[in-house]
Amino acid sequence: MSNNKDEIDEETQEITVEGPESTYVKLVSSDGHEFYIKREHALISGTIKAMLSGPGAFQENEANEVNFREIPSHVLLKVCHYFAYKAKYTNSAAEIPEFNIEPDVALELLMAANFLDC
Amino acid sequence: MDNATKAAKINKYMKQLKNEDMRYRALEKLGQIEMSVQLLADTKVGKAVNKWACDDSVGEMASDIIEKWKVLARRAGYEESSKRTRSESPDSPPPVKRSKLRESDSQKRDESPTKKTKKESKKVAIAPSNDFDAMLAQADKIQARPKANKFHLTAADLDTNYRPLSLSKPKERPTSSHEDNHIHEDILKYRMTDRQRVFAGRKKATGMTKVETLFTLCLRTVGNNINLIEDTGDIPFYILRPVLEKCTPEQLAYIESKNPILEEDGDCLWEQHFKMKFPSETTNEEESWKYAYFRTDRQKKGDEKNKLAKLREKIGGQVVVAGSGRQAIMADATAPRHIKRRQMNNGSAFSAKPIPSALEVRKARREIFDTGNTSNLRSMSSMVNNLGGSGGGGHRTKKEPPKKKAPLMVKTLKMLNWKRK
Repeated sequence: MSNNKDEIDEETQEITVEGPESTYVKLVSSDGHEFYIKREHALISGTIKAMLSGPGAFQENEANEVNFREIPSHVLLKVCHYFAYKAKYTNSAAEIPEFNIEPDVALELLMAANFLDC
Repeated sequence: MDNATKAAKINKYMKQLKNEDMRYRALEKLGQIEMSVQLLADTKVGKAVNKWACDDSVGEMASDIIEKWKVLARRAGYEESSKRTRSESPDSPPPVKRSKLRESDSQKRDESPTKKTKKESKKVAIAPSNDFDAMLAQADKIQARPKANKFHLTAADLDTNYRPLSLSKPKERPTSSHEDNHIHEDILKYRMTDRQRVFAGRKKATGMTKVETLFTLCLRTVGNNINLIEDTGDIPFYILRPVLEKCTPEQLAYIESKNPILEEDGDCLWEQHFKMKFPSETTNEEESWKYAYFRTDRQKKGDEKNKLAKLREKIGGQVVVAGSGRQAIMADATAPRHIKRRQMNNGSAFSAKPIPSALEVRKARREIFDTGNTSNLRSMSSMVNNLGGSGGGGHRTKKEPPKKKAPLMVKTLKMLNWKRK
């Protein structure tokens, strides 16, 4: 538990950002953009899941932070959107809307999706 | 969050429950905390929340939370009972569940040799619980004495806060395996007495039913926009393969020209194209499919050109040469006069002879008047001269033959004395 930043707001939710089993994890793109997303969303990706809950082989375990040196921010943003989309509509009886992907990002997103296994 | 912090939080929220303003929020937060049976027992939060289960404003939330914790406790209870053998008692399940919650009490009871009241036993228990070793020893005791806490239900044992056991089961089991005797509740949902819409048939799946992987979604998007693909970067061939298989040969050639990486592995695709287009052709040795495809393509094109040229020659030779004697010339096509006039005004008049100027026409007309010589005017375009064959030219001059009467008709008329022509 190297960084145990507990951001406690008295009135609103308690958000633990770092520390084991925190609610949120941090994904960093190649150009330095930091994305804080819910842990359960991030675990949709098999690769991230392995990185965060692996047997201590990954440093990400401790800091709950993953650095992606090959994924630019505009792609990682779309990935985070997909996590939210999937988390919302999996096991839901509601009609699932289409997930739109701009053709410009499609190729890079394809590579990222292949890497992240999601 | 470790147990100590959780417990501290729970205690905090329990205090907040007393305050009406903070009650709802406190309940919310309690619901969100990852509870364990140990925590439930230590903090007695279950009791505190249950107090508000009948309240108007927060009752629903409180009962929900209680349900959740009960499920948790039951699950833990199952785990416990699985360690012990079932043969011990015939009706073990319900009492075991109940006993798990009270186990913490009974544990402490077991400590003291004599039967004390609950409160006293609690007091005794608090001291050893501070000591870690004692806690361990306690834990061991649970394992060692499976039969210990059965149904010695004395008045002191009974929990004064009665929490009724709900009949719902743990979340893992699907609802359909609920008691078989009961009719599925959905049947009762739609009563015929209620004026509701009745649907026949199955509900159409208008949208998607399952969330697809991002990978599949991307692949589809790329496949729909093949014309926009330029530089694919480092993507290996095997990933893009489904997309490339969709391409036409031209598209494929273009993409490969931009990305040599794909060219190396992409020969199998060219094989397919080749076989599709030239099923009867064969390739030469040492020749890639792509090369073979384009070579054969060129050949075929060349062949076509030759064929066309030959055809042209054939047809050309059979054409009748001009100058066989007949020659068509344009007649002086005359339009009716009003049209001629219109044409003249419009400027689209055509005449074999040039249209004379007004002065010339006047001169020529004057000449007739003076000398009776019509030759000049006649020589002018028929648009201008009004000499010949106009005016009543359209009338019929022939005399009509008299109408022949039918002989029978004549006779009939005579009989009737009908003197009529």
